[in-house]
This record gives sequence, C-alpha cells and structure tokens, in this order.
Amino acid sequence: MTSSGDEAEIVARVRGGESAAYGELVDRHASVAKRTAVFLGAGADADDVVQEAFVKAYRALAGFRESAAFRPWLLRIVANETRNAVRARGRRARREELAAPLDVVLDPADAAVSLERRTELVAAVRALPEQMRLVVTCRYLLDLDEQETAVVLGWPRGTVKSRLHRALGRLRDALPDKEVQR
Amino acid sequence: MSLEDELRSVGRSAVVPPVDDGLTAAVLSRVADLPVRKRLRDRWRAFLAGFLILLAGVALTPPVRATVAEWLHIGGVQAEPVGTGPSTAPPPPTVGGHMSLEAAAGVAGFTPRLPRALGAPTGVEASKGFLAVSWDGVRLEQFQSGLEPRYIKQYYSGLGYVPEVPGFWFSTPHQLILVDERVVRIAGPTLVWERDGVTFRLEGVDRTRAVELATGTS
Repeated sequence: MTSSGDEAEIVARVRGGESAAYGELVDRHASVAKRTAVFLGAGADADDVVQEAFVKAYRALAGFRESAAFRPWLLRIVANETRNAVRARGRRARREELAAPLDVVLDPADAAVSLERRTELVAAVRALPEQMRLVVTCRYLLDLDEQETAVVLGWPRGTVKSRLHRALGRLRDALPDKEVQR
Repeated sequence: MSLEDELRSVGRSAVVPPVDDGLTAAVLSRVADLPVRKRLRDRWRAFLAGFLILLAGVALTPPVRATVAEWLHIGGVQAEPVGTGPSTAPPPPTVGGHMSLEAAAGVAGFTPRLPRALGAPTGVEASKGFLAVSWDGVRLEQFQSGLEPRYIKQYYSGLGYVPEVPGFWFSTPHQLILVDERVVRIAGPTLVWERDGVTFRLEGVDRTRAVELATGTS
C-alpha cells in the first residue's frame, strides 16, 4: 500500500502542480510524523510541529530525490521542527524544557514488558546525553532501521552505529542486573 | 528479551494522541498556492498564476477580495470561505446538447473521462477546454485547469478532503461564480478533483456515490 513506486507517482503529480494529491502523502504519514514529534519531545506542540513539517516538506519537494523514500525524508523535517519547537519553549520556560523530552504515556494493558520496567527504561533513555537519546529514540522507540535513522538524524551510518553502541552500553550500566534473559 | 526488544516494546506501548482531524485540510490550504517546482520557467508560471489570481481577486467584490489569501486552489476551482451561504440549491442544470463524445472531445481539446457506472450520458456539451455531460439529475463538468481559476466557489462550511479520489467535497449548497462570464448559480453538494491537468466537478449525488463514481472514472 505504501510502496515507494506508488509514492514516487504521487510526488510527481504534486510536482506537476496537482497540489491536492499532497493530501495523500499527508494522510499516509501523519500518524508516524506525530509519533516522531512526540517521542522527540514536542509535547503539547506536536500538532503544530507536524503541520509545519508537512508545509515545509511541500516547499522542499523540489529538492526531494524521486528514488529516495519519502518517510525518512519527511521525518527528518519533523525532527528539525521538533528541535526548533523545543528550543523556543526552552526560551519561554526552562523547566518545561527539562520535562519535555519523551513525555509519553505508557499503555498499562501492554504486558510484553512490565509497566514498571518500561517506566524505568523511559527514565533511563531520558537521562542519556542528547545525541544518544536521539539515536535510541529513532532506532528502537520508533523502530526505524539503521538507514532511516541515519537519514532522519542527518548522520553518517557509521556514526549511527557507534552512537547506538555507546548508548546501549550506557543504558545497560544505568539498568544493572535488571536485564534478565526471559 | 534483549534490551533492544524491550526498548521497542516501550515504543509500541507509548500512547500518542491521534492526529488532528483537520490536519490534511489545514496543510492543503496552506500549500495550495505555494510553488514546488524549481525550474525557472515553472517558477515564472507559478508567479504568473498567482498574479492572475490576484487580478481576479481585485476584480471581484470587496468581501471576496478580503479573503483572497485564504483561497484553496483545486485545479481550476478556487474555494473561498464566507460567513453564510444559501441553505438550498436547485438540482444541477441538465446538459441539453447532444454532441457525440468524439465530437465533444474534438471541440474541448481533450478526451473526457466518464464514470463507468453511469453508462452513456444523456446530454453532452463542449467548448474549447471545457466539457459538460449529464445523466438523470447528475452533472459532470470537466475543464482544463489552466493558470486562471474558472470557478470561484463561495462555501461557508463543510469543505472536506476526500483522500480516496483525492479531491474535495463541498457538502453544502454554495455560490458558484464563473470567473470569466460572471454567471452565478447556486450549486448543491459537489465533489471537485483534479487529474492530469483537468478539473472535475460532479454534482447531483451524495458523497458516497460521488466518491464511487469519481474513483471509477476512466
């Protein structure tokens, strides 16, 4: 349904002046865009961030390579917009900024990992230095693959790998003896 | 379970509020007049289009002009929000002409696309760049989108994005203004969409049927 060939066709139609076709891309990716904005710390500004990101993506569509995947390219814009929003909020109120990243609600009914353990993991991810937090958020919390993570964060793939490796080490240290093999 | 899988589980179980209902419409209305094309010739065309729309706006009545910035561009149709509108509309005008589709295509300069489900139309009319057909109570117009809008639709509520087409559904009666001829009539609920540089307006059926007909057009 979201095959890239099919999306390349939509992009071509939008570029050809059929601006209403852009609605298809918005509908397809709105949900993952919002998820990304929330996970990266947009908080109450997530809806504004998402709307702004889609408008900016439309403007930048001329520079989008048709062979590229639309989703990571869009999420990179969402990530940049989120950073801007967090910064603006930081100027308004520093305390809010500290509370903002990863301000997510965990579904208690989801029992694959206990709620307590998930809360602990969120706290540990939140305590990571920014770049490690970003790479763990994209790669695992948002479940993007390594290539997508590299595009979203705008880093070389090697950097994604090494930062992930270090971040996981930190998390293991912060969560001693609790990672049991189940 | 590995730490990586535990983190994935955290991601999956995180509750993220649903996306704003109005997101798609809001984005589309903001990007409607923004050019995405980068070639200089295309930029010039986009500028010219914007300029002509502006000229059309200047020629219109002041309340229309005041909201030019809010216009949504769907091919050759400009949708413009107004405070109040008509509450009822007569049925769409029946197309009286009886041209053959081939002759109409020749006059219009493009091949019409018709909803397969409706069969042969009872009336066909065409002029350069424009074609109208009708069946019992149903009217379909199609016209080359061009740079200037052909119609202005003054709607006062209920403009919804229809992703299946994709297009827009005007759910309430609204003023229909033909830009070049100043003809005004009240149109009922209408589906508007654009495909390959041709704008389509379908009136006389409800939303569900309109979407069915539009997606089954060839």
